[in-house]
Amino acid sequence: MGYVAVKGGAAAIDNAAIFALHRRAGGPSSPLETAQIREQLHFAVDRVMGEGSLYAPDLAALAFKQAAGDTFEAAFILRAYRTTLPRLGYSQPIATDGMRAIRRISAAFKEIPGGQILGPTADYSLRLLNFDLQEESPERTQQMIAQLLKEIPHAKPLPRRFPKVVAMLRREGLLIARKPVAGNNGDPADVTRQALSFPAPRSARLQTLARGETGGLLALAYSNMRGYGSIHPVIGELRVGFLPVLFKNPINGLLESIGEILVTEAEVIARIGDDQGPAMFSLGYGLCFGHNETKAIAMAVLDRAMSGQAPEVPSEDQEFVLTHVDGIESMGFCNHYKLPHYVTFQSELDRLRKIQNDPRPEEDTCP
Amino acid sequence: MDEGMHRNQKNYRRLLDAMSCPGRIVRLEIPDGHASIGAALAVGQCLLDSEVSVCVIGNGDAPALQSTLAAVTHVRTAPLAKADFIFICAGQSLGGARLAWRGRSEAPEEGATLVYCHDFVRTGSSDHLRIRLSGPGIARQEGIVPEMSGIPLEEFRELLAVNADYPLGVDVFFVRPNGEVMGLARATRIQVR
Amino acid sequence: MPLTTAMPTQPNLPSTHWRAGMPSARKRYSYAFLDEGAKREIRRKLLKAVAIPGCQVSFGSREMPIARGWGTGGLQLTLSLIGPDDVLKVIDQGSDDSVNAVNIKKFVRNVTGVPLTTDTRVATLIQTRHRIPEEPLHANQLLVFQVPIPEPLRLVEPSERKTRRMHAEADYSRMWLYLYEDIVRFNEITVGARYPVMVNGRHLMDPSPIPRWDVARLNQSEALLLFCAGREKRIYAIPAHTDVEPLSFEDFAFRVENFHGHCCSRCGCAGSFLDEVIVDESGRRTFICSDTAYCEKMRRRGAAADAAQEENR
Repeated sequence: MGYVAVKGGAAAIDNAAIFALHRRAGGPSSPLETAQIREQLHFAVDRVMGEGSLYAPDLAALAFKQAAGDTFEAAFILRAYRTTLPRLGYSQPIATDGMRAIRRISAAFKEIPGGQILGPTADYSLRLLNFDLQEESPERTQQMIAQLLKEIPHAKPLPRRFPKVVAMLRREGLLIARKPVAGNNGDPADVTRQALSFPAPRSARLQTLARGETGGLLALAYSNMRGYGSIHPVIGELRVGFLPVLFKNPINGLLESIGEILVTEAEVIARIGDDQGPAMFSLGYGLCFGHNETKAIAMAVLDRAMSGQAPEVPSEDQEFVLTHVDGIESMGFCNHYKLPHYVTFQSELDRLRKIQNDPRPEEDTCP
Repeated sequence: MDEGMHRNQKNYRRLLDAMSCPGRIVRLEIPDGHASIGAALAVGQCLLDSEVSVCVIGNGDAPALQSTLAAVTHVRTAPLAKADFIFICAGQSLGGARLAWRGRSEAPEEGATLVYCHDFVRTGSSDHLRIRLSGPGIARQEGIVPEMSGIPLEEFRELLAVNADYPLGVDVFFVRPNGEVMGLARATRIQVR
Repeated sequence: MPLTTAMPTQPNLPSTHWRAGMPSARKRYSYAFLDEGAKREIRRKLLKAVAIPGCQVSFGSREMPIARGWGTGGLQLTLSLIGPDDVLKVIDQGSDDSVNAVNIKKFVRNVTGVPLTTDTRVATLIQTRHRIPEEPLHANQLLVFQVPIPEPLRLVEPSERKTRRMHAEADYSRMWLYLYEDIVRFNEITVGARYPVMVNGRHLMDPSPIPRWDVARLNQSEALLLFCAGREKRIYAIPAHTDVEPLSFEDFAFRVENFHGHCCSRCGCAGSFLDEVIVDESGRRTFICSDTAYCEKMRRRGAAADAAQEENR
């Protein structure tokens, strides 16, 4: 009898958790502070907030630390925390043209009213390993920032609001009219309260994409751009900036700003369509928490791709896209295959042996 | 807060018993200080909040129940034909049940829940002996007599008609002021003899 | 509305309180983890699921601190149902001690303080993955199944929109066709676990990946059977005393797993679902009960009988 039943699971789990802690924090380097993660690994924090569906930079930084840099895991931890929070109310819709932008570009026009604002981006820098960062000198960093700020006063201050590029196209009658995003009852759908049903209202589509996993969105959007689809997007406008969160004061009924969130917004102009009436451009929309341009653009492309009537490729099929982009779900299901499946397997074995006419396994007789 | 939370949990388990064993009586724990609507309120506290809508119809207690439910649970109000929950402060819905939303064929679960809040009299009428309930949750193939007496025969006939298009339909709780509850699922087969 | 707060309202809780004995960080969570609004939604949906046996009811599934696909559906049902009067049992593949079952149990105990048991007869609430306990259940027990794929028609149709329509019309012809083609090709129905069943003569249902051995035991059960898929956001149920029939043909009847007369090498029992275990590299096999608590009970019973016999001698 060489078999010992799997006992002592509790102790094994406890030990495994301590091994994981050892792996993350057992080395000689000093522990990461969450403030360091929040400031210096801000793209990771933003990604975790977006996929975790909770705007909480400090908690996202903590989750990222706890997950030792695994964004799937960090977003998952943040979402599980989100489950425990009561919903105190609903913020008001915000018009994004009032965004306090830190970056704003259009690929459709060379010059746009308000100007092209590059802001913080590594788009045009050479991707060479910067060995200076190995021994980063705070003095040198401060010096460079001081130099930049010294030159900035000569530039004009940014306007308080930028006109929307797509609004100008819309005024000219070049864009297909906006369709309402709400569900049947006029309110936006809420995918965290109501499971998706298909066809999903656009509000449910956009919410699902906004919570989607960046890599998953990118893969599907890329398939469309590359050839399994026909969206050849032009970025009408891409913005990164801060939006106020407006909340109706329950006592005096007045709108109040209760804080700001950093978001990325992309509006892509896609091929000419003439589905309904005269030929016009159509628009895809993407918006996500934090600074994540890849995600916002991919989201906008998928939004546009799913707006057609008869899907011909996977990225145009809203059921296909929306049920597969959630990182917490796909990662969970992928990993659940690590759980034991021996009962299921036994059942399959029985079927196969039956089909192969019962070659019985070598036997161990009953006691 | 914990006390209300645990009461809701206990009461919910009894409502679940009632719905899964149609025709049997369970007993709810009633919150203090709400006179005759206490039992109806106990059901409301278990199941209602701002995510769903209610319509309260019927006699005497209806306005009081409506305002108490709204104040305690923040439930939205809706017209009869659109409400998720219909509280009927009477022994009969007088046609109200027929107007209730029965769900869509792709989502029959959207059908309304009817909650009759009435002092169905214990004795006096033997009408319930003419009813046979059978189907899921009921052990005897030949069916059982509903444990709660005093529900008018016409109302059973009414529910039979409303639920004729299974799985579309409504699900029902009969609630006595003393906290006794009997459930009828739409899958319950009703025979009137 | 009674809102749950993230922080405890009383700083010094009495030791009998459910929060007592939890690590300090856990005190930040409310009773049974889910906020009351989430529980209410699940409770409402579950009543509908019970009223329409076998019909999949969609719900706003919440993220849980265990991963999607690891029993988040079952866990959400358990947490919405559980109260101080309950005794909880959790099994995974029949075992009380497998890592996932232990993990789930530990979590539920930490957020509720309910007592745990491995004894099927003592439990009021049983959460399970892929098995039904061998000992018969009774009327006051709830059995909560973890479900990976709630849609039985997914085997023949990937689109949710289309499968919804098929359920609405009770059009299960493609499932029948699938089984028929199976027979033509293999002279046998090849579906192992997750065998599709017809509930109350109306809804085709996925019983979760339980073996066919357990599928047969869904029919006219004494206990209320509850199913929940967290990732796919569906709840469904089978009340006690409900007709549950596995799909089968007159000439190709539904059959449970055949253990060819083997019995459990630990307890000697011959009437339970067995796990086949490879003993050595030559491929020699032995068999043991999949339900570990039942096996232990049978073993003790056997030992007691032996002892009694010894004494009588």
